[in-house]
Amino acid sequence: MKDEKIQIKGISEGLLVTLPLSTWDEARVFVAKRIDENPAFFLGARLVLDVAETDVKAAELGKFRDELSERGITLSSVLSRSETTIKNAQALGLSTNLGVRQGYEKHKKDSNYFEGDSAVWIERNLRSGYKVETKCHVVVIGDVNPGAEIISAGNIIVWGRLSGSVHAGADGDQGARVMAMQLEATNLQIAGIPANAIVKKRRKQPEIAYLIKNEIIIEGWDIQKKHKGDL
Amino acid sequence: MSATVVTITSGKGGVGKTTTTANLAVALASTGDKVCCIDGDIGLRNLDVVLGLENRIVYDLVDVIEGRCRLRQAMIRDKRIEELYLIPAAQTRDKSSVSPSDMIKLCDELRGEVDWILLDSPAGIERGFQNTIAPADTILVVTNPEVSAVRDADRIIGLVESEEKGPAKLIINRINSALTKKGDMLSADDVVELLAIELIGVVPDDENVIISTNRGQPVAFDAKSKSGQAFKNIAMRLKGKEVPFLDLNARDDLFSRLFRTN
Repeated sequence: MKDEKIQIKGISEGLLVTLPLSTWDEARVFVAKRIDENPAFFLGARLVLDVAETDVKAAELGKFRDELSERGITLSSVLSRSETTIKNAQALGLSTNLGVRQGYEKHKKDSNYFEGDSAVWIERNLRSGYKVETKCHVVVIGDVNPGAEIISAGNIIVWGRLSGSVHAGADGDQGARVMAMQLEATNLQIAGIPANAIVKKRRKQPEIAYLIKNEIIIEGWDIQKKHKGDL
Repeated sequence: MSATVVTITSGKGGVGKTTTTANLAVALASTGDKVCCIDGDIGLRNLDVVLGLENRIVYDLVDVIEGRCRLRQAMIRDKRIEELYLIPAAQTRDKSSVSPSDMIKLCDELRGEVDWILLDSPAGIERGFQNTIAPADTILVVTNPEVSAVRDADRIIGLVESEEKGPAKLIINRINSALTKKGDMLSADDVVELLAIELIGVVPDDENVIISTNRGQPVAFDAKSKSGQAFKNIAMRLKGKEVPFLDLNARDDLFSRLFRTN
C-alpha cells in the first residue's frame, strides 16, 4: 500500500481522512505515520475518518481514538459503508456521519452515504449511551432505552418501546413523524420543536407524533381512523 | 485446572459489586472449588475489608504486575475456608498503573492454579472498568431496582456487547418486596424487561448484609441468611446447575414458619 493513497482534506467539521481499501492495521499505521511527520499541523484537530468498506472492531477503534488523543487529536466521526464499523463507532459514542442538524448541504457531493428515501435499519435494542445520527429515516426493531438517542433528518419508527431521546426531521422537515409501539420518549423533538413532557400511560397502544402548527401532537394509533401521521 | 474468569461490574457505584464478589467467592469456595478474587478498584480498595482480610495485606495487584513479588506471594489465603484467596488492590496508586493487557496476562497465569477468578470491577466506564472486562469469560452486571442503577446497567451491557464479551448476565441486588408490592419500587420483572438479558440472581434487601460487611464476614457464611442463600444460588447457577429463584414474597416471621404447610 502506498502512502499517497490516504487523502487528507480540510472540511468544516475538521480534517477528513479517507483511507484506501486495505486492512485496518495497515491503515492505522499509515495515519499515525502521517501525523507524526507533521504533528504541529494535526495538533488540536478534529478528525473525521472515512474507512469505506473496511470492518473495524470496537476495540480497534477505541485504541485508535486513544492513540489520536495522546497526540492531541480528537476523533469525532467515523464514516463507513460497513454496518459493523458503523455499529461499533456508535457504541463508542462516535458520530457516523457529518452533522445532520447544521445542514451540511455543501458536502453532499462529496459523500456517498445514504440520504433521502433510504433508512437505517437497526434490529436490536438501543441501550443507554448509543447514538444514531443520520440523514436517513430510522427503523428500530427493538427497544430504545432511556439514555439512547436517535437524530434523523427523516422519520423514526420504533417497533418496540421508545423510552430514549429522539429527534425526527432534524434538519428542518416539519412533516417528519415519530412512531412507536409504546411511545414513552424522555425527550421528543420534530424539526427542532420539543414535545411537552410525555406521561407514561397504563394503556399500551402504538402512537404517532407529528407537528401541527408548530405543536407536537401525539395520537394513539387507531386502525379505523385516518391520521395525519399516516404513511 | 483452567479457571473461569468472572467479572462483576455495574457502572453505578454502591449497588453491591464488592459485596456480591465477596459472597460469590465464599459460596463457590464452600462447594470445594478453588477461588481467587481480585480487587480491580485500584486506589479505592475495599474487597479486603468486606472479606475481613485487610490486616493481612503485604503485596498487592500492582506489586505483581510491576514484578515486585510473585503472583503466589500476593494471594492472601482466607483462614475460614479452604481454597479462598484474595489479590488486593493497591491503595496508593490509581487505575492507570494497570492496563487491560496486564490483567489478561495475570489472569492467564492464574488460570492454571484455580477454578474461579472473580474480578471486582470499580464503578464507572473508564480504565478500571476496561481492565476488569478485558480478561473476562463471563460478565455479571449487578444492579438495584432503581431507575438510575438500571440505566447505568443498560449502558454497561451495551459496552460489554461492543467489546464482544456479551451477553452479560444480570444480578438484581437489594430487592425490597414490601416496596415492590406497593408499586414504589421497580420489580425484578420490570428490570429484566428493560435490560433484556439473562437473570442469574435476585438478592433481597437485608440489613444483615451491612452488618456482615462491617464485620468482614460475608453473609454467605451464614446458613440461615436469605440473602446468603441467594448468593449461594447464584454460585450454583454459575456452576451450571438449575436452581429455582427464591420466593421473595414468602413471609419469614414466626407465624408463617409455624403454619407453613409445605
